[in-house]
Amino acid sequence: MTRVRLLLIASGLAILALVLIQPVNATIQTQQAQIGITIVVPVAGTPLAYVPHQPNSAIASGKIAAALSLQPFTSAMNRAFEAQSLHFENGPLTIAQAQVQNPLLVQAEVTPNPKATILYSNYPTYTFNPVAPGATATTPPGTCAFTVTVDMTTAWSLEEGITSDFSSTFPGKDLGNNTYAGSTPQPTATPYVVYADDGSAWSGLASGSTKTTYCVVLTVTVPSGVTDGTYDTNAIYTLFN
Amino acid sequence: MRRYLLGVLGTIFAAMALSAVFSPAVAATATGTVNVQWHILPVINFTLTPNYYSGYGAVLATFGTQASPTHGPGAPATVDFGKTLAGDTYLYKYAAEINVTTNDANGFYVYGEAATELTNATDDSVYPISNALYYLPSGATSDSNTGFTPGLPFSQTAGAPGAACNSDSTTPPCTITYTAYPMPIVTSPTSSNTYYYDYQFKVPPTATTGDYYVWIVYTVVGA
Repeated sequence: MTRVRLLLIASGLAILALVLIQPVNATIQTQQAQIGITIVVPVAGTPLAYVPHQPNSAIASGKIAAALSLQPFTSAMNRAFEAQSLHFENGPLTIAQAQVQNPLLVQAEVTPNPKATILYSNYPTYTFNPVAPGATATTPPGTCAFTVTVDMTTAWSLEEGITSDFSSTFPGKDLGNNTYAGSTPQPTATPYVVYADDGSAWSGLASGSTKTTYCVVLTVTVPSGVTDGTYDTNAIYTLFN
Repeated sequence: MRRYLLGVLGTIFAAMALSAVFSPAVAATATGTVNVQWHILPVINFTLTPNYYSGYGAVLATFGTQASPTHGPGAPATVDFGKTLAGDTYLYKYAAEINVTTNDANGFYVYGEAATELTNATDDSVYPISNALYYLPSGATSDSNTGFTPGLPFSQTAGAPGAACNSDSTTPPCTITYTAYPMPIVTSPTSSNTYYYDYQFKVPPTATTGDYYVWIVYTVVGA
């Protein structure tokens, strides 16, 4: 009987311990804030199709082969124009253009958000200078594409990733980040995890318990097959406490 | 003999003079090449429809299950995000439909710009529009975008906005006068096209309390 009581007491204590620990775990897993930074990559400079000069063996080297055909004159081509008192203005040619304009009013009612200051970025958008297909571009030396600041003094953890690929031919993993606190960058850049491709999960960036600002340096390599255009994705930072 | 020759020459000159007198049209005819260029102004029919499909409105950016869209009292005449929190991001579904038909066989350009910065009408504070309002393609009757779908930022115009652009009143409407057009947001190679857009609002974390507004002006020009 005593053993049974001891067993019950031990079980009760175990359950009590679980109950007490559970809220702590739950607190650690609670999402506090989430921000998105739009990354824009303008791709420009796709070379025009170029065929190197290859002398045709059937044609003497250095000569241009051309053919010319003359179309017989028909009466339908004979059109007479007449003009009188023509007057031509000096100065540049002016081309009038018809335009139609329609405006749209955008409105919002904004109220303060107490959580808006625990996780924030200095810029909500980063736009690369135009990048040619096959080329790599990096944030200018000594600068950050953007910063991410966590302003909490209790234990926190920060996760990162991008939402999706730039396009079907431009994978999101071609975007790397070198994220660091202080003044010393990491030795190398790391590809972002892509939420849409990597099991709807983010990757851990850092944890701490003090206010910390991270500098994010971006590097993008545009695949050679990507056509000219503007491509974008969103870098997401999620704060847990 | 000499007199005879002079007579013949005189007759010839007289004949030439008479010919010149009685055939002036032949003598005055001249031919040349004139290069004449002209530009025919195309006819453009442009319809802008805000809140173009049922279910329009704003949803908070989140992953997973999406909330039902809501909107402020300005809709459907305006794109009204309604109540928002500073620092949050919102997606406004079915914000704007642009329908263009023209007789310009080369197609047309669509320019879309903000007339001013994002303005708080309550305290007149302003925030850069390119950090706050974005546009992204949507569908005519379906929309899979979320608040975290990437969009492109609107730019503030380098043109001359009219006085009406500094007011959140819908009348008179805002206009922009251009001396040079910006980069088009879309180029249509065909003479008829329809485009659908959602808007995204990244509320500045430091935004003060109040009623915010900005005019987005779309301009269509033949290509």
